[in-house]
Amino acid sequence: MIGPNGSGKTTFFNCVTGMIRPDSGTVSYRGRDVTGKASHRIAAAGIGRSFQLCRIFPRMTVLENVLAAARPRGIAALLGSARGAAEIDRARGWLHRVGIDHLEGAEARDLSYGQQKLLELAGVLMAEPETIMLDEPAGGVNPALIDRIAALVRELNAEGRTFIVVEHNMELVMSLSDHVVVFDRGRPIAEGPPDTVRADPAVLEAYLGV
Amino acid sequence: MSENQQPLLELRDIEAGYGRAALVLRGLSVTVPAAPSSAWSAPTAPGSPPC
Repeated sequence: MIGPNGSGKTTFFNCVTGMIRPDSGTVSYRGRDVTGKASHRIAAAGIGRSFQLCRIFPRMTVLENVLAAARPRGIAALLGSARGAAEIDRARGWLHRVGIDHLEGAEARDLSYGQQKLLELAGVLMAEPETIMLDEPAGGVNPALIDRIAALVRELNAEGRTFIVVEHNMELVMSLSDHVVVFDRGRPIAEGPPDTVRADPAVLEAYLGV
Repeated sequence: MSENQQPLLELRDIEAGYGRAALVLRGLSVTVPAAPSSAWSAPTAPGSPPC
């Protein structure tokens, strides 16, 4: 999803993930009405998200951050904060997948911004969502880490997870996406395959200013 | 309609914002299609789920 600042992309994310309740209209996920449901219920339905500005616990370690994002299951749900070895292994596995497992003992505040983005993504993945919404994953991230994030999205997509991405980095959007939606002033003005959208006159005018 | 035929995500006529003075979405309708299951086996191939 692309569009000028203020066009409604993040508000769209907030509506879907229960951060704000729409004044009117409906949101359905896999045919189920999730309009206005609380965020934890949306997460339980299978949707995870990241934020434009990283939401991590800065004074907790990297590993603790990922564990904090785990969805309690089975006996752990009954015992509250109980954390089994399997859960810790799973957290380490996601840290390995995003490439920051060597930092598991570091405080999150000591990571670079790009590493914090990867940490946030590991936390999202810890909840095992089938649909992942990323809000500007490349924003403020150096090119090497953007490549890592892109590669990870492709891998996870190939494994069966769907990504919905808001992003200003056009090269990244066009290389990752099968379907692009362009927002302007709270409404989509174009959508379709990247090449089609790229050539749409309304998009060129609204987004690229040509 | 089977689950595979349903859209992944569907928003209909959404109006939303941050108070009356800051209505951001004005009648937004968007459908994110669910990808056919055959797309899952094709890494980064055309037809895989929307990114």
